[in-house]
Amino acid sequence: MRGWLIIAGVCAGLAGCASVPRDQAADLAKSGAEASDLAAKEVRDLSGRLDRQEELMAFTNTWETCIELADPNQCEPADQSDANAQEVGKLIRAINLRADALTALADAYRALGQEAQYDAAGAMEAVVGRLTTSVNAYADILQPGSGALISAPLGSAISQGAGLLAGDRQRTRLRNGSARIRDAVVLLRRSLGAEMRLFNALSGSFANQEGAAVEALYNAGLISRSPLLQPMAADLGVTLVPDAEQILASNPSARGATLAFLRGQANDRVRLQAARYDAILNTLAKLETAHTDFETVGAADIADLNRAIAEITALIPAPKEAAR
Amino acid sequence: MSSTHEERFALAAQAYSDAWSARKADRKACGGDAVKLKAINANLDGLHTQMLRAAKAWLAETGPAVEAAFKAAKDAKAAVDKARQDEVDIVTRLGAFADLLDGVKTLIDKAKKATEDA
Repeated sequence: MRGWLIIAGVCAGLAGCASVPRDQAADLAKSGAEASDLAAKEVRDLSGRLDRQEELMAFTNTWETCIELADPNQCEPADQSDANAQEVGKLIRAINLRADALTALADAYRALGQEAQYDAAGAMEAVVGRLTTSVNAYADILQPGSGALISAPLGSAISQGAGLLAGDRQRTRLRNGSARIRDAVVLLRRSLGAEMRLFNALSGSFANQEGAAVEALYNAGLISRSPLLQPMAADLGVTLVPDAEQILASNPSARGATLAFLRGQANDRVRLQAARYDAILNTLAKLETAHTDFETVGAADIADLNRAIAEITALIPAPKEAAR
Repeated sequence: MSSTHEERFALAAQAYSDAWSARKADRKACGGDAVKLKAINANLDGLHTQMLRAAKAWLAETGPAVEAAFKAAKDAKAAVDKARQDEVDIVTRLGAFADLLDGVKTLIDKAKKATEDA
């Protein structure tokens, strides 16, 4: 490792030293795009859940309020206030800025891949420019005016290398493109890391509200109850009896146990979400290391990076659970 | 010692989370009164609104005014916790809820950076 670092230090000062193989660049680009797409999806899912909260809360609050009224005829919809609706809208826009930055990162990786595979000179410059703008827009809402942002590419910084042989020009572009993307990865990792508690708190709040909506639907007798227990029965390899629905509707113990099971499922989803967020941050750290190694010694541990990506995908629920 | 932006967010989030967890007991204490039940819902909506504001803002402003607001909000939260624990009558409880909502709102107003649209 120490030897690698020495080589890296020497090569950092010599433009033509590192070989920057194209296949390494293509592998790094493929893994980087996959990791960025997964992270963007995670963030957009959070935004989508926030968008659905209004109707869930209105239903739950109205049901829970009206069953407490001395005079049921006074039942009125418990609507979300205008102030609340405005804040939901603002927060959705802010969360979408995070997702946009991650999508821009994935696009930049795809451009890096094209450059590596097809020698698509110039393909990266505009995409990396958009990445810089997008990441800065996100980072700026965290610490407005802090100056801790990344600078835009300077003119032909990515396409530089006039006077070099074609192969050397491509290597220079790949190395410079990697460095620009690495800057964005570093800033995104720091920004998303700083917000981890915020995301976990929001996710916990959503799980509570979603659980309460299911409970209200259950208590109001508006949903089939036995399908709620179907995942547990399937996992245990057993079959619910034909009159399970009737039992769940009339037996208070069965009702209580079912609601406890649903709360356990909601808590599992919160824990999974937190674990995915951790795994995404870990993958961004691996990406940063891979870029540095790629730029200095022309080799990166892509297998290590891909293991980190596999940890994210392993934490994505199976479709039957995700559909809940 | 000064509070951190994370502690300020945590206070706003906990105020809403606790109100949400206690909502059924609070509603039950209203004795079927429609006006009081509406006040419970308005308080929940208000605390949820403030939690969303806190989630979007960074709450990184510092200074005596921020610390005073943080302490006032913490004290208001402690008063609400005690009112629920002691099961005081719902009218007194609603007064404590209103103080906490004001306290959290003031904390966010003071702690957000002037450049933030929170």
